[in-house]
Amino acid sequence: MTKDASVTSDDETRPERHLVAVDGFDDFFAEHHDRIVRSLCLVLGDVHLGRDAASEGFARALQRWGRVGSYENPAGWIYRVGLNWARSRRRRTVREIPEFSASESRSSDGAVAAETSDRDLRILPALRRLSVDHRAVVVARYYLDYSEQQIATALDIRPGTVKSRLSRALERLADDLGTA
Amino acid sequence: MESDDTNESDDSNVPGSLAREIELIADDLPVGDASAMLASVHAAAKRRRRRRNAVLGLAAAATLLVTGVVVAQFMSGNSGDDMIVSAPVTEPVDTEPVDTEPTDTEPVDTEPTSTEPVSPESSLVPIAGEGPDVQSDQVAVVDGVGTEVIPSAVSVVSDPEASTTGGDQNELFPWKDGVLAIRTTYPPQPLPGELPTDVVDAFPPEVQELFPDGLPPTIDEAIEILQEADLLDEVTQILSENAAVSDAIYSQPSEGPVRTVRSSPDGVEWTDIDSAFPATSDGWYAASTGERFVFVRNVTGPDEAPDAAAGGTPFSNPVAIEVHSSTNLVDWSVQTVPVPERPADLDPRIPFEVFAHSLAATDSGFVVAVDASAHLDYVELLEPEVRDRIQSGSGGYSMDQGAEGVSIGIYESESGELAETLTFTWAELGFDSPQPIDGMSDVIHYAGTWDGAPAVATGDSQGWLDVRAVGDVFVRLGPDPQWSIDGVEWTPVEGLDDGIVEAAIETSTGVAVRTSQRDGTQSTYVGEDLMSGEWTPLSLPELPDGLSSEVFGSGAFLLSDYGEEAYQDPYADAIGSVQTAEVDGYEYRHESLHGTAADGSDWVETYTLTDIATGEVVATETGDPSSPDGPFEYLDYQADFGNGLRILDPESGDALVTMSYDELTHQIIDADGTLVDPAEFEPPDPTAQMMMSPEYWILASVPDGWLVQNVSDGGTPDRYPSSVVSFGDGALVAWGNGEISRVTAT
Repeated sequence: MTKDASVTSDDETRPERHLVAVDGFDDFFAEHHDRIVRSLCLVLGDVHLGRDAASEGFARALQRWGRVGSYENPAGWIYRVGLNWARSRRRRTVREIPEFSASESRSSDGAVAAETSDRDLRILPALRRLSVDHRAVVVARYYLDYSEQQIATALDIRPGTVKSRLSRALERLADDLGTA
Repeated sequence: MESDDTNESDDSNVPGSLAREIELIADDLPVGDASAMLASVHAAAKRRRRRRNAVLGLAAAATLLVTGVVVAQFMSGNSGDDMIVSAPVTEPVDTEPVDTEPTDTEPVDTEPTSTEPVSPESSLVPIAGEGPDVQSDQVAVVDGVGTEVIPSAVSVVSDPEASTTGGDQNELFPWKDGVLAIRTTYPPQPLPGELPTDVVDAFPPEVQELFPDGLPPTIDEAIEILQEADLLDEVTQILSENAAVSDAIYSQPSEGPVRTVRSSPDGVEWTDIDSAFPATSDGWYAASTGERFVFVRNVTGPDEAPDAAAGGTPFSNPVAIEVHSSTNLVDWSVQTVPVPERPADLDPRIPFEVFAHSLAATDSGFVVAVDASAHLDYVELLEPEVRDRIQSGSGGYSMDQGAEGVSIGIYESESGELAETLTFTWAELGFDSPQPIDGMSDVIHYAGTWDGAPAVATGDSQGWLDVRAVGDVFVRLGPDPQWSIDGVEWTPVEGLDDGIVEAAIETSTGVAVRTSQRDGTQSTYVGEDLMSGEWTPLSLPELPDGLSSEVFGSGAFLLSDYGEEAYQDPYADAIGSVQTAEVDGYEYRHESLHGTAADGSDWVETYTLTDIATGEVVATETGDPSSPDGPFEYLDYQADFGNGLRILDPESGDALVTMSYDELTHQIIDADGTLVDPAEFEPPDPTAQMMMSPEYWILASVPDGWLVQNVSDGGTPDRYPSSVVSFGDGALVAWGNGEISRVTAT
């Protein structure tokens, strides 16, 4: 992972400034692309939106890779950026990205359900009935395998909030799955 | 102590296979083409760096009243890329580079930043109209392919008194063994002698009293008066929020731009030339072979642009496209280029726009690129009151289009937050199907010769937006470059298979090109000509990596890193923060001391609860916030349904005190250990934080090798490169602030 490098020319005529290296980004992208895309697709419930959100997260990370690349969990940062971007986009384009309502079962192209229609998965509709916030912590915990502290850092919420959301999300899942 | 049940994440009540089931779902999700997304990501990052430069340039020009709304729209992201929609599953994903989105869309950087302030000092010292050689640097180095870097020096040769704001920059061309500098100056906007009463009444008395005898002749004079009275901002706000008032103020047609032409044999001594360039606001694109100067005009007529001054604006459809050429800048010949016709099947409500936008010239002829595009102005289709609502807001608006219709976001001027979203189906807009809003641009190349024959369209020019001349050869730039002698028959340029050809110049030994690769990096290749297909990488140790060609001209590239985002953390110097409260006879104090590790692992959090009456510390904990369980065991952040915190007695588990977050006072611990109100920290400037000063380097071919010179100055506003040219043993760079830098071999 590259870090910021302060570059000062030994030539006095060259203005001092700060250069940020982007080396290592492509390797990071190759390693994390699939998992970040899938995690955002799961949370957002839309393959297209998930991909766009991931792309936006990666693009913003690249812009400031010298700093983001030095973070303990750059993938978590991208996960949060992607989620926030998608939420903002959802607010701005109400027609383009329908709300992911509680009992809605979307069948349009790109919906997660359509992409997995050949699999009898009880967990998917249960996941879909969770709020985005709850799905975000569930996916982070059980798909990205983040610790609660990592989730808190990645989503910029308190550890207690992570516990609370995770607990309620799991209760809801248990109810839906009939295992409570 | 037991945790609150509602805060405990207990996996026992869900299937143990939850992770595995989610994994199975996820595995089925199509992630798309990773390489396509990576290319898109790099492209988006590059576009944003370019845009930041553009935004800064535009913001600097915002001292003119008229730009207020434009800047607001630009900053709100309504600048083209905001219209990109979610990509279909079979296509590469594109993203929308909106760098100025509301802050809630992007996480606050809680990680320590290591960026450093830009040095405000300039390394270049202006010399008014005098000679070169202020500083010199660089040593001669022979590179791996035998090309020598010539030691050089850089100086500023333009007259600082003549330097004004963006728009007055020079264009540089090779001319008669020397150089030609053409400065375009726009006369100030004239003001009406009299304003309607309702327009006057829109301004407060203190503004009206400034102009007891009516408005001054020009807007520049009015601005000066308003600035002296400290009322410019107020007037700008009125204009930006009231279209009718703004229209009245700008009702007088302005004269076209004035072009001042100067020539110089060395870049130091300049001679004014009394040329016959048209003083109109028609679109202007020029080229020079060194012996022949050529420009193309989009001639707009009264039928097309009845309200436009001096024959129209560059955005009016031309009634004619003319190529003017001269070998002495006094006697001119004119040739015409056909104007593309509107497609017969295009919906009549969709404007069809034509515009000649670039020109290349050789000793034998020219090629003109004409853009023809259909572009739906959806706002014009809306009801007048809706249109006014969208256009009258000073916060700007954004637009998204999709299969179903158009969504328009209207933003608050002060907060920048989305205030309202309007949606219109295509049917509501009067269409049966989705329409092109961002244009269906078609570029047509026309080639002509200097014998006066009408220009003819060349085949298959779609996809090559930029055409240039390298010596006597035309070249179409882009991913599949082509060369042509006559501008009609085109042949692929061989041997440049690793990227997009961004720029091409003639050198002392042949030709050089800049290519960009998928990851955004650029390389320089040199060859004897464009036709042979034999290229050699140009490796110059003096030239930093990571530069891109920003502008290029005869014999020279001007390279830039486009700057970097400079996140201005207002708390960058802070070493921690403190939260305090007095509740129920207790004083609560929570200190967060930042560590120095990049991952924050040595940050320390401490709270104490003190009985105010006795001074006894009744509870305290110190912890590591990076701990998986959080820093504290007996501090519950989720009290009162998440609206407050409580401190628990370790022995009984009872709450010692509960307080809402509103009761907490926040202070920052600065570098000296002093507690400071966060409000006293300057918030980051939303424009200034967008980039660090870009670094500019010139790479110019001279008879004995290359000049490689850093021509940065630390980030003077408006100092973006507008033109570059190599001649003799030196080169010149023209900047947006009117400045010209001269680089000479030493």
